[in-house]
Amino acid sequence: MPQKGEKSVKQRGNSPSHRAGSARPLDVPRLPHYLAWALMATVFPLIWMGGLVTTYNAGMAVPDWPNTYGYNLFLYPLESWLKTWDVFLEHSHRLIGATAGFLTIALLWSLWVHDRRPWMRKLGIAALIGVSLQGTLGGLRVVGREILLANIHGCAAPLFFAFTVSLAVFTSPRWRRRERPADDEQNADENFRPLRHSIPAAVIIALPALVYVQIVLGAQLRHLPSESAPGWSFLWTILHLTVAALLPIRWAACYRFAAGVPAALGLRRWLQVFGWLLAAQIALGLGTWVVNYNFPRWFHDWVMVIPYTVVQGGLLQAIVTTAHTATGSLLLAVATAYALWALAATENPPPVYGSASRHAETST
Amino acid sequence: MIWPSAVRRKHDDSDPEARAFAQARDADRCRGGAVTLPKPEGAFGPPPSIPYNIRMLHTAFSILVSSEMKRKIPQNGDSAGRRQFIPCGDHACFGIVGARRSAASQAALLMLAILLSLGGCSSYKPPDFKLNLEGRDPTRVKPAQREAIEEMLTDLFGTPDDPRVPPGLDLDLSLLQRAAGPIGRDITGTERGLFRKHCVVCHGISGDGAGPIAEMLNPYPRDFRQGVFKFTSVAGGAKPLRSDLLRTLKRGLPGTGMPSFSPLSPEDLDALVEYVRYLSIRGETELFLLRTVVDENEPLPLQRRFVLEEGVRPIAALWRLAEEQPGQYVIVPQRPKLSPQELAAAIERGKALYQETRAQCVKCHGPDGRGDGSETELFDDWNKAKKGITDQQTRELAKWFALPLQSLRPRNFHDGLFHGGGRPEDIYLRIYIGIPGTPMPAAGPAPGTPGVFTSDEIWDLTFYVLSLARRTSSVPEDVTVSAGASEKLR
Repeated sequence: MPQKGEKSVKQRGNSPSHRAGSARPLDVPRLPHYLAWALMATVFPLIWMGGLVTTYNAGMAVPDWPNTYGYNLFLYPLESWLKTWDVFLEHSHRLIGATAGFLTIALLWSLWVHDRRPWMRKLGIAALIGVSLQGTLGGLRVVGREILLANIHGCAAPLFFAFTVSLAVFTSPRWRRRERPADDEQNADENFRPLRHSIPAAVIIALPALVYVQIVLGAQLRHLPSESAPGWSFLWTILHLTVAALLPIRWAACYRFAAGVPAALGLRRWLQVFGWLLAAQIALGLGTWVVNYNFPRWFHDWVMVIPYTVVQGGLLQAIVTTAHTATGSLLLAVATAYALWALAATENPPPVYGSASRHAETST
Repeated sequence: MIWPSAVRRKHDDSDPEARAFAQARDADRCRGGAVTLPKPEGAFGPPPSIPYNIRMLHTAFSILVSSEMKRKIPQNGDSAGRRQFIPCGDHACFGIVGARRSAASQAALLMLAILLSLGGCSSYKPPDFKLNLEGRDPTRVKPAQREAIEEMLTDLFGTPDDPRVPPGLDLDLSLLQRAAGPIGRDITGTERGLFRKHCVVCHGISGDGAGPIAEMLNPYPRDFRQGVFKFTSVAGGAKPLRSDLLRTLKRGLPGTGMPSFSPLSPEDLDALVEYVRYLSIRGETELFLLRTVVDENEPLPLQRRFVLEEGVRPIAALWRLAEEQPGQYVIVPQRPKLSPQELAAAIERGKALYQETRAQCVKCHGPDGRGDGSETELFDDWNKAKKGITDQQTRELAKWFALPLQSLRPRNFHDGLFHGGGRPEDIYLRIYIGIPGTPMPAAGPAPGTPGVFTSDEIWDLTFYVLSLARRTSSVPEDVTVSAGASEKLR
């Protein structure tokens, strides 16, 4: 991401393939980028905490919202907050969520002040709406005791996380350099010239889309209504396993494509990270089943017998199950970053917004 | 109890405002400081009769009013700025008099409305117990019969959100209320809905063992409604003791989906045990009603007194019997302390007993204890009824059951995986009592039955079985007694 972008600028400075000049850093304020990173770094633990809330069934540990047991969210006594585990989880989740909300406001402000790209400002507004909706969904899940809203809340969280990743990408110096017109010799990034054989956007987007479908399917298993018929869990599990089998295939296809683009773009690195995470995620998925429902009978019959007892609410169960949830979001984030850079590599450079606005921006 | 400071502040009798607030919050669930009156029906939320979207929009409105109350207090007027109940449709909201919504609030409200319309296809409906029609042709149960049975059961036992205890039953209502209802804590911080939090995903709301995930598990989760439990310490098929259920909850069943609930507090475990007993007694009463009304055509309407005397009381007596009569449950004698030579001799004796025809071990567990006996088609009581004589019959029967037919496999002792626990005492109990609801017979004496083996012989068999095991089943550390016992026994 941005750091990598900066690093590659330095590398390209010495590279014979990069003949576009010294590629000195852009003179654009970094604050939006830092704030986008801060938001991203807040949302990930927020997802962890939300996952723990679901794992421990602690969503209703605090019966009111937006208050906590009648207190303002920020004034809830520390002693009470730390006293009971499920209340700790739920209240912490709310606090981190509020922090994400404040960071989103700060990001929007910084975009408004420092970023002259109109679409970027719109994305900032979208982020604020998104975080508000997500918080409201969480709150309504509490006041309405709606497991469906919990389900939607759980599905929306990775989406917002991926959105924060895209904000970090769009505000990164490397992305900004990509947006320079071709005649801007000093700052143009030669690697982003259109590829000879461009790949349809749908093919690139398929990777994050498939990851998201998988997340939604997993969420259905996590939020099974208590009265649903046994057949539903079977259906969700089969679909979840099917997409899990498709993901490595999709990943391999992307990797093959990435082999044909300049290494400096970092697509292969993104896909390597994705591959490792995917391997970990599959292992965590199998582990999640085991720590919740024990080894299946076929495993005992065909592989080996492991005399294991599930411990409900145990540390292993909580960590493995929640890590599976959080790694799913992380996979989506990596896939989103990959897709954005891949799209940037295959598509034509974006429209230039006019030299006047560009000069005004650089002088900000 | 859990949140003393929070509760004290909201229940401070000296502050009338706080008292009104607390009362209102007890009457209805809090919506961010905005509370609706009057008291709704049901345990939580506004009356379910109100459409979901309307309820949610009202909630959104209440939240906005309360969130705006600090900033938008008008400066004139006596009542302005005071917290009190203000009219809101056909009820009242607790908020600030004169509170106005800003443009931002209105925009937020609009946003909420859009959001809520997304979730409008769902609403919280208090779940109902499902009528036990397992193995019955549902078309043969007349609507009037079904209604009469359901009404009687609700009258006697209440609903999943609001359980009741019929007269004469040894059940603690306060424990049941702790386990029943939707998941969460009330405003005093007391946790509710323990059964739904921990058990329902496998055992289902009605305790029918057909929860959302049940079909994926082998063996299936227990169906409590027949009042039969596999791992008990009572002989002769009597009802389990509270301590039996508690032990299963604490230790779990190794190698199955039944987890150990050892991290739960003793109060929570007691509440769950009581709720399992409640579901069992309710389920047995339900079976009594089905037999009486559907099979025997008892004239309707049903008489409450008749059901109580003929159905509930005999069932309650059976549940009390094991607890009150010490002779019913088996006390495992002290494990004999044996030298290596004596232990080897005991294992040899056990091996000989194992092969004897009176024991019938070989028939299912095989000559070497590998679970490969001559009996290949074994089913427990919960699956027996699903098995037809022909495959065609079995397929036809399947539509009257929630879960497909599942066969039973005798234990392979060499795996060292014992669902009921791998301690010598556990194996002793399994041999002595058998496993109720399965073909595993009791070998020890029971009231009115002499028994196949003596206590010493059962110990010999126990040592032999454990000597075959490569390792023992894992159980949580706090209850593990003999990890690696099989190694010592070799």
